[in-house]
Amino acid sequence: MKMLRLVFGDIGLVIITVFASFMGVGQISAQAGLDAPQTAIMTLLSVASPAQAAAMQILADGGFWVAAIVTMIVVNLRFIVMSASILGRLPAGRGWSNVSAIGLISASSFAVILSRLMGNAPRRPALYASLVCLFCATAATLGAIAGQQLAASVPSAIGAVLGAIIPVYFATLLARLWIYRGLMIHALAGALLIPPAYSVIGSVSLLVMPLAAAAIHAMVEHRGGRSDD
Amino acid sequence: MTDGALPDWQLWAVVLGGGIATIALRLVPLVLGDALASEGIRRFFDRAGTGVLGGIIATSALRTGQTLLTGVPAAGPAVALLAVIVAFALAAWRGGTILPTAAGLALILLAGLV
Repeated sequence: MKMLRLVFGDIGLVIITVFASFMGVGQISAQAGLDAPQTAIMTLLSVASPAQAAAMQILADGGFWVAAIVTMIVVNLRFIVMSASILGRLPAGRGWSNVSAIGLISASSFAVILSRLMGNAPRRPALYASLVCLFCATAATLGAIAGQQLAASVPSAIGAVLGAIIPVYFATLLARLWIYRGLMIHALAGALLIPPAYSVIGSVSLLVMPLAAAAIHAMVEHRGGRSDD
Repeated sequence: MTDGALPDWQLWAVVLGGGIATIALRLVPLVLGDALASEGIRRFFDRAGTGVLGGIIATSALRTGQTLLTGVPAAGPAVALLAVIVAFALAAWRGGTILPTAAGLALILLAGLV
């Protein structure tokens, strides 16, 4: 019960924004020809609105179905870094509980879980991460289904306002890590480097730029023989 | 299925192929096993992870500024970034998430109304 209170306290706003943002995914899925079960299964498995939107756009434009899958894989490469970061904070050797903790991770659940585990971590971090991922995935799936069925009747302005919560709320989650100076430098580097890189190489920038920054930092640290995190 | 859409089996291929591939990507770090527990590797992924988070915040703030503040197209992204900075500063200073989020959101909405 205490764990559920902690989880809901952390993801209350996130669930609303996830639901709203995936309504758009549901709408574009319908345009691409997916029915409700297909939309639901795809969302439950991937929980990745940019990847799904890109894949659905390819299908809606009459593109090759393999290209849609490859696009999803490329856009979702960033999940490797996210799950690695979370996995490093979970107890080692807990096979299935760790699989459930990262198996459905998304950008939203990652922001919540990382800030919690690096700050005042719960006693059972894998259970916490699993619940956050499960609730976010459920909200995304319900949002996608609702979007497919109702999107035309929801004013776009309401969706836009709900979408504005995402960056603002994620910034408050990031603020929990304020005391880690080294991590703040990387967050700032990501904020400065990824948007311009995004316009050139697309969503792969979310994978490439942070890894490059972390690698450079590690090399500098290795030469200097110190850590400032 | 709408007219001109792909055959149903191709849609299912995209649904299952894309979905299962995404889950597989998330599980890739499991092959690193105990190496992830080492301080150096963990620090590396912590840094990369927060970099990803910073990037998500910046790109979604810029997108929000462009789509929500249509009345001030040039200043929209700047206002959205300012709202993010205000929310971050409030959360770092006073703690909590709800009030800083409300303050940042109010800033965006006010700018949209002006």
